[in-house]
Amino acid sequence: MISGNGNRVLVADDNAVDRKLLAKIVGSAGFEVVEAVDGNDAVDKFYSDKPDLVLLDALMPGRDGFSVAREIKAHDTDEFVPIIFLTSLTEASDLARCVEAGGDDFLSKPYNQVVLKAKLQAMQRMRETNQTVQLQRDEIARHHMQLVADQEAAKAVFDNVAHTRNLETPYIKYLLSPLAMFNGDVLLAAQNPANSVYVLLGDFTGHGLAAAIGTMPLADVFYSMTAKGFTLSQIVKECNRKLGSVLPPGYFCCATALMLDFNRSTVEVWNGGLPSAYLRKASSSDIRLLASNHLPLGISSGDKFDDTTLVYEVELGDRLFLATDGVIESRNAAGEYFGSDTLEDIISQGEPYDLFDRVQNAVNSFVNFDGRDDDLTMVEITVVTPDQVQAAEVVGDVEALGGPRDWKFSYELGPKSLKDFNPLPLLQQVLMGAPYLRTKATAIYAVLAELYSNALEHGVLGLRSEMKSSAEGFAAYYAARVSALENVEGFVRFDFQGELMDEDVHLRIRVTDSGNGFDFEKFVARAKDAVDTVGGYHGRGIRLLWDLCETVNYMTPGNQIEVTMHWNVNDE
Amino acid sequence: MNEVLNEELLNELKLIMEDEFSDLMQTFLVESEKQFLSAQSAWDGGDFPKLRLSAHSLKGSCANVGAEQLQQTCALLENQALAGNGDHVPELLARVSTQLNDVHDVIEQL
Repeated sequence: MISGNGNRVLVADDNAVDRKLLAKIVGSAGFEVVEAVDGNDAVDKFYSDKPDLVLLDALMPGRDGFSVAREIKAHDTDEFVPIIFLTSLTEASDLARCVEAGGDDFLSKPYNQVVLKAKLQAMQRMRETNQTVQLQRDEIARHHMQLVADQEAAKAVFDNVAHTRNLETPYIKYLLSPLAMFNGDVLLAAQNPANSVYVLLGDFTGHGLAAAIGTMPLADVFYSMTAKGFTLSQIVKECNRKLGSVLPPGYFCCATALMLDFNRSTVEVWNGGLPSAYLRKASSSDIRLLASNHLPLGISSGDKFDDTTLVYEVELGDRLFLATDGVIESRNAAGEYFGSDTLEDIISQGEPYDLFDRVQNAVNSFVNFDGRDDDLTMVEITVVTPDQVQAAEVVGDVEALGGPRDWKFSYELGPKSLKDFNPLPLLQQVLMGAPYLRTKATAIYAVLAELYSNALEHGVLGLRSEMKSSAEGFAAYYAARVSALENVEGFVRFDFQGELMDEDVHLRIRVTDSGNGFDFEKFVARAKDAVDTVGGYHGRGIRLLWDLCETVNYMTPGNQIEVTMHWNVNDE
Repeated sequence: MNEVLNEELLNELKLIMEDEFSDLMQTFLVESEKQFLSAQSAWDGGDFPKLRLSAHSLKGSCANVGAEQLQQTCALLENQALAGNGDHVPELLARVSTQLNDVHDVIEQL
């Protein structure tokens, strides 16, 4: 009648007649019987024999049935062990005591075997139902643990790829939920070899895994290209191409990417589909909107993609504020949106230094709900002096004295290349083939970048740097640069020579352009006289070269410059 | 016999207990004697809780073997003990003793 496990019954009754009778009835019903002669014995047998059901006399000498029932029910186990009280008590209050102590049913004397057997079966069914529920609960718990483990593994991979290490600097403040991967927000920061800071804020369509999955290729492209010194245009273009090829149709990424060049005090911006970013001036309440003027990443095919960036001059203490639509689309209890007008007011009114906290507090008090930050993604970058930017990581695990010991090469770009090709990552990569140059990678890249932009913009294109002395002129300069590149003629040539003698490194870079040259003696004299203020742009480039190079020499008529760098491999 | 033991219940017990029926009856004889002596000594010692427990236990045994009259007397005794009222206890104990002898006589003749 009863098969398998779960058929052991503890019969606890101090009365031998009752106990024998019960044991006989229970045994003949197919159960295994364990007898206990009083309350203490019942508790002992409960633990030693682990019965599946207990028949318990209410009144026993020593420990009574109520006490035994309470101990059994308090015993910490998932098993449901039904207790049937054996009693000749008939008062309602006595029966209530049995229930309070944990009794599941009663049996009155004289015992009726039909009734008892029916009760045993009913209890057995309850037990089985309970076991099924327990099993299902455990299975659900296992599934849940598996799901959480999977998500944690996914998040660990995600965090390795789209890490936030580079955001942990004094000049960047940000809010990014730990679960941002599941709402599609991504925030990336990195430095190029010249220590310019690149930031990308993205908002993928959709939620959950679909939104998270595009982050990995995006971060991969962003980090690797930034580290190699590619321009912002090249990086967003590649991000667009990559996302276009991996995302399913209909999925894309609204993004703002920017590059802060602390040496030149410029910010370069590309915004495709995100709300306007803001440039808040340090010295006034002026703000500049950096509005979206492109399609989001992952939509346009390669040749239709517009990688045009905008460049603005920045001053020390200026702040850039970027946010996904979570901020302006925050809603209060009445269903009203926070809105971009409110955001603009908060950013322009008040001091620049607590801009970030003001926005955060304003949104939180607007929605009047704690923990709202979980859905907000925003970042603020402050313009600081270049020395406050910690140098990009130097690859230190190479044998510094290996590689070529004496070498030279020339590299010349013709007009078609000058139009839209950036030679710097390639040149940097070739140079880094000499391991002893790697400790100076940042300086070398900065020098290369300075020499190339001078040769291209002033030499080949004939643009005058004086133009950049006012904010209007600054914009006009970059507009003129773009249009001049459309019909560029001429060349830029690099001549490199490197040598490792004993432990001394000598690097010579000569850059020649096809321009007419300029009055470099007057220029150098003026730059030497200039007070070294960070505010003015004019002449900053030459001072950078003087800082980083051992010698800097122009050659008549001024379309050729040669710099030398020299250091000992054991130098810091 | 009808007045002392419920014959119908006894027959059912025989069916249930099969060849252990006489063993059960022997157990009753021993146990009920013990319970009565326990009740008697509880009363002698003025121990109402013990008197109540003994009366209760004997009452349960009687119920299961169909000794209904004795069962009722035990119930009265239990109630007195529970109430802590000793007025009728000697009288009830005497009746339990008489009825218990009757039950024993009947069982021994089975």
